[in-house]
Amino acid sequence: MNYFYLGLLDLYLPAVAAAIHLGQLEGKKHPGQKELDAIKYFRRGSHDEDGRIFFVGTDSAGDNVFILSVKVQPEVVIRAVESMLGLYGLPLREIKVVPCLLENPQLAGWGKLLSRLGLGRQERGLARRVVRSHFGGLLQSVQRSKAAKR
Amino acid sequence: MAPKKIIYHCYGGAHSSVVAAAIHLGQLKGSTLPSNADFMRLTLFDRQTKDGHGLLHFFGFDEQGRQVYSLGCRNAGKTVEQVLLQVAEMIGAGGELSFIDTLHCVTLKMRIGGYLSRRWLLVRLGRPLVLSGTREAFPALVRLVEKVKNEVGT
Repeated sequence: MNYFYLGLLDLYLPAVAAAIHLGQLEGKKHPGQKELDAIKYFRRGSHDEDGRIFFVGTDSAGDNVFILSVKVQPEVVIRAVESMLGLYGLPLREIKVVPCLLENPQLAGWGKLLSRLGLGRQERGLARRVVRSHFGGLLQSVQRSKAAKR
Repeated sequence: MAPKKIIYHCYGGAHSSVVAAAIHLGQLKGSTLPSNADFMRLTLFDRQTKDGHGLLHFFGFDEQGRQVYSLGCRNAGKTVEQVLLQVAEMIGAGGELSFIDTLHCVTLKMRIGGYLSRRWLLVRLGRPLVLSGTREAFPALVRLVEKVKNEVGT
């Protein structure tokens, strides 16, 4: 089985979800700056990385964990992946796409603006705040996706 | 590896990709301009809904046994293409898919008519416009399909 953690506009939330999945982050407390900065792919992602799938690791059950981010229409991407699995006669659980989306995508837009203005530190600071405020939700998403396999 | 699945995609998967798939399969002859009734006979033509965006719609097998599909990707055509190509590699079907964007063949009439008919469900207003626009775009779609067939091998 493969898990795809899907973000909108950047890789921050999917990278953190993948880290939770792989046990690199404890779910009991909110991660600090050092922990977040140490996460693989904890970054905005460049223009040409739109839709690119990154392998993050393999979990204890032997399932592969990937992340990706798209600029627009995450729900269409999810449907397309599921539709393609159907095309090849593969069960939907072969690839589980887990959306890690901001309820307010404007936040990602603000991050992009800060980055363009050369305010990389502030952009990263904003990303950390966003991650901390969504940490509980990410944790639940990961737990739900893992439970769905059983 | 020659592609086994040819996927025509556009914004809504209701007009240009559907017509391109029909031309590819010979359901619409490239030599004559189809009538409005010919277009309306096509599955999904001006009937696709937003819930169908992202779903691959199987149209049939071409003369080489390749499967032909249409797909509506909204404004994420390149992204969907990129993701599905990687997924295909992962499941051992790398090189089997060929994506063809039909959006550049779409005329202004098709855009406006399609928007009215599909987005606002103003079918009586949008459909005549989209049909007229599709007739205008038809030669470009025929050329596109011919190019695709030449590239993938007939």
